Amino acid sequence: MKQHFITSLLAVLICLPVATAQAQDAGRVLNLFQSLMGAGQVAAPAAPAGGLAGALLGNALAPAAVMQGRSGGDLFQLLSQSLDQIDEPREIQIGQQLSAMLLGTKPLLLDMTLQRYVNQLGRWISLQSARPDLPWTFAVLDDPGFNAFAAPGGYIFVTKGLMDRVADESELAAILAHEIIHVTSKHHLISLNKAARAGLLTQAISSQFKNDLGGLVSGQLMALGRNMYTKGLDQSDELEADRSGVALAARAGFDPYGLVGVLQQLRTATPDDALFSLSLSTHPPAQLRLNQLELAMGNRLDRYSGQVPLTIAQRLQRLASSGSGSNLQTAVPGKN
Amino acid sequence: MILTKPKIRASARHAYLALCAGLLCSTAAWAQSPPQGETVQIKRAAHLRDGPSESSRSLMPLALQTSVVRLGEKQGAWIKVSASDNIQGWVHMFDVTAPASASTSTGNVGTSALRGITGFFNRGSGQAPGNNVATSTLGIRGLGAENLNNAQPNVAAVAQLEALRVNAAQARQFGAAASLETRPVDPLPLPEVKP
Repeated sequence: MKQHFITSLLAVLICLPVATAQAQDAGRVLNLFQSLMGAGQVAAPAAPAGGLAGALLGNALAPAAVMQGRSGGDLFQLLSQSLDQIDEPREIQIGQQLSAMLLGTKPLLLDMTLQRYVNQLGRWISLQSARPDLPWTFAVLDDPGFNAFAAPGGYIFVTKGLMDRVADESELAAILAHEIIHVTSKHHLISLNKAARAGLLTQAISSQFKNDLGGLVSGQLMALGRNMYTKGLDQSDELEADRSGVALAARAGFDPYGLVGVLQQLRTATPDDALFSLSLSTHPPAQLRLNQLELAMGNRLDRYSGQVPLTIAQRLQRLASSGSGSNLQTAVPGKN
Repeated sequence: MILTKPKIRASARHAYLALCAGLLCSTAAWAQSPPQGETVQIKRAAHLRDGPSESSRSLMPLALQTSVVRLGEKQGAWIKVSASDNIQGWVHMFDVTAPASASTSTGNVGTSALRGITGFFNRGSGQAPGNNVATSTLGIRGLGAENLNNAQPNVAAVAQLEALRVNAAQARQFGAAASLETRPVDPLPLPEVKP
């Protein structure tokens, strides 16, 4: 007994300085990260430096903080039962796990100005949504392709290629609004629930991630997520997100024709373009989505249309020069 | 030709950044690319107008199936086009459609296409090839099923992500700075014509 106690005490004493040293290192890395990014002011309001430093400590400590200790396996069990079992905190945890998976494919874009802007824009739109109090989180992935994704609980991703190619802010707003509707309508949760209840997963697939990250990320949930993001949501979910997203963007003050512009651009993309690829699927093609939108919109929203649109570059410039409410004056050193 | 080739700027990589949960920096720049130069067809009798609104003066009538060329400019629901005799003006987006071939092309999947993760624009191609649903969807390169299947969950990046959040007050500040005003907009009705 006594011996055990002493051993424990020793272990604590030994670990303590190590942990402190780790924290300091993380702090240094953080400072470097911020100075390279010019992000000192940007990151501060959203998260205390300690939190971010903790995050940067890496896998050893971060998972516990991020996932709040709930095992992914539990979440999977709940998902296979009833959707009623998934309250908001659990929904957010499922979103965190799926986000971890998506972030395992592509890193965050290292451009704090753009990340900050997408969060401001997205959060503003989310405030007009049916679930304004979710901890909405937006991010730009470092990928040249043209796409956007959402995960339960308010996690929304757009690619760098998309940011570069939207014609103006109303188009980006439309895409974010579309993804926000997927979250508020719980399209992904319902899809996961259906798949889990149908028992589509084999033990072989689900054991793939076992014990990874201390068992905090569920192999089964990852398998479900991969399946969902590969197969896609129901066509009716996509069309609902289009329709309701248009109304949401208009409610948030944007031109309601933003999505129409995006879909028209999409329709004209050529199959031989390396960044777009043409594939057969049952997903609604751009022309079908346009037709459905035209039927739903008619001229109902025309009175909200017609402002001269700002491009993303123009918006960033304005935010930087006004300085108010944006913290965007911190230009990234070495970038133009 | 709506997309220009990417001009990849030199990737800036930094060893320290790799420590930061594998965040790597590589920047690429593309020109803005609205569907400029695309030929579209008038799908209902309309007018070429001298401004982006229904009340703008008519420059010429546009009969059904008239071809016009997009000039890239866009304002609200209106796009600028060039019609016959090189007369330029505006038409409503809903009055044009892609030429028949463009919206029904099925073709073979691009060789470099990764069968992918679905999202805003694509459903991936998990379905059996050869089904006869005439659809064209866009996949993306790089964020494909291969990536998804091989990816290890990056939990640390989620924490970074969450540190990027802004709160409601900050979002409202942004809305004010951007002169965005909320408006009461009713939900759109479900179209009676189902796809």
